Amino acid sequence: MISGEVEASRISVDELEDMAKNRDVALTAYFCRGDECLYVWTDYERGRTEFTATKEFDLRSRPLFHALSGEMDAYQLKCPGNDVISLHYGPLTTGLWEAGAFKVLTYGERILNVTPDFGYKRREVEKKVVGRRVEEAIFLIERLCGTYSVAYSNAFCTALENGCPERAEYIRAIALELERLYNHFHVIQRLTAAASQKVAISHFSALVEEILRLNAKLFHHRYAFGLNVLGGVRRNVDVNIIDKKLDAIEKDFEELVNILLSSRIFIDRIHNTATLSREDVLKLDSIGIAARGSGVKRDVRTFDSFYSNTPYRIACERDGDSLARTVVRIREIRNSIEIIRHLINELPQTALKSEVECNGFRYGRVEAAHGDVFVAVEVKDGVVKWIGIRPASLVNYVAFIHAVERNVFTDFPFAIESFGLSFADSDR
Amino acid sequence: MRWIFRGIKKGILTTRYPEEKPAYDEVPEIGLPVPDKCADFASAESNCPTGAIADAVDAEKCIFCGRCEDFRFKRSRTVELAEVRKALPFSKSIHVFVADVGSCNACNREVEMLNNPFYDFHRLGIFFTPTPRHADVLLVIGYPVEKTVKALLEAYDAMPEPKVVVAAGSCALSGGIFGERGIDRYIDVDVRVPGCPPPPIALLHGLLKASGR
Repeated sequence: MISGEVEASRISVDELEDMAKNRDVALTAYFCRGDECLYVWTDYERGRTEFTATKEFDLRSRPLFHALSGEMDAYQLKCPGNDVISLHYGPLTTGLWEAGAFKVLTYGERILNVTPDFGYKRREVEKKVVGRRVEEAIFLIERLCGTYSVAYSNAFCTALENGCPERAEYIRAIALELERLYNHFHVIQRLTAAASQKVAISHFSALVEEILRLNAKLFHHRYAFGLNVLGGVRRNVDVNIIDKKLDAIEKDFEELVNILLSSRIFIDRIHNTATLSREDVLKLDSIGIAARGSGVKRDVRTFDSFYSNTPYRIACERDGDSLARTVVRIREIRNSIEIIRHLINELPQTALKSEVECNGFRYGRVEAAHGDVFVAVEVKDGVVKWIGIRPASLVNYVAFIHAVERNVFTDFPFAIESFGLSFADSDR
Repeated sequence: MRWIFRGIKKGILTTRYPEEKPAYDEVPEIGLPVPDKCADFASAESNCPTGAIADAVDAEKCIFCGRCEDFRFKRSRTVELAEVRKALPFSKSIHVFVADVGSCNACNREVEMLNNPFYDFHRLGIFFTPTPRHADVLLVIGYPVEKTVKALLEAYDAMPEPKVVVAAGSCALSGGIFGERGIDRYIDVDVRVPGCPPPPIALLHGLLKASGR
């Protein structure tokens, strides 16, 4: 839950080059705003978000740039040879569960190159948000990707607020961590589904359902739509419900993970699958789970002052394969449960909502389950003038494209699920 | 072996629906907003983001955002609102092809959740099929994006007769928050399941209705 003024953090290209000389600076976003090109850079170590507005900076060394500017074809292999078979997988397949497609190049067994083909879910959220009142814009932004709705609405709201009542901030964090929990459970469920571990699928999807039901009771919506409003939250929470449920979920989860990780068959499938090295992460500017699975500590929560008062610890693994990413998720699940416990114990008694005067050009960022989401928004008198959203899936698709190369076909589901990517998210 | 013991220890989670009404745990107050006695209709109407509130609440337009709760509306616990125009002539077992035409992923997740032990739709003879050639029911979710609607129509043509179309979620029914057009501009919808997203009980209800149960 980081926010700030865009104008206040503008730097020149020289300053940026100075910064990049001895530190790791990641390209976070790129937007076209009128005739201006806006680049967003993040120094995850020091927790600084900087903006530059120039075309001259050498971007050829940044492969992520093509994805951010919407040219996914740039990642396609050019002239792959005569024996190559090209496939188009999608858009209506039960395998993907979403309207999305992949362009696949292969010799038959090994995957040469995979590029996601976007456009099948383009609802043009950003275009539709412009001109709306902020209160209504939140509903659209929540539905950019329903399963990460809390993260998006949270990023949008914190961008516009100058702090909100403490209790509201706590409730938002609880909702965010619950969202992280069910998404992580869901990813593990999908991985077990890919390995055909039928019993494990049922157990883990039961855990997802438990959290969704908890959400329904707390927020009157299974995905917590409508919880975040400008200046605070819409609903109070009943702490007792969470407390009881959380104990049961934690106990279940620990037992399940114990059995799952002792299953050689399952581990064999995700071990050394879709490996992403530390250098790849730095080159491709990957974020979230993809980065943390490869030993790069990129997490917005590390420099969030709110999380410094909670038992939050960064989870990091070195191997960079699907197993490492799964282990990161498992550790984050444990940590999230700990954080929620802490938050409900310390829940302060303040108002739920405060008045906010919306004006200016500001940004907000929040760590969702799969990576950090970035929202920059310009508001005048409560009406959105311009908005730029950088979804986390879009960035990590580039990492996925790189990681899945040279893997065999049967590893494809393990590769994609371990990143936790969503078409709705990147194909907005 | 450990999995088996674990399963026995866990016991039966599956809902008694449709033999019994859904329990509170399955459907807390997540249904359609219902006006209180002293509800402020005028303010709720002007604040509704999709124009679902006029004289009554339009289930197909409602996106279940909870904004009208500020104006003394309460959320009901009934989610079985599906409207049926045509059902399949057989009722024992149906195969469902899921077609996402531009959803926000929440509907997809809810459809996927039908598979979990809490709902276990296999016990009612409902199955997903990866190909429209085997399908009796076309379950459409999401806001219709032109590029995907083409694929949807192709899938519909590939389905054998008799077939029904189930549209689920406010985006598929009315465009929801994304726009004015629903899926019925392109295809005749036989069963309409409101919700944003429709919870699994509502989807189950809709699919049972589609098979004439």
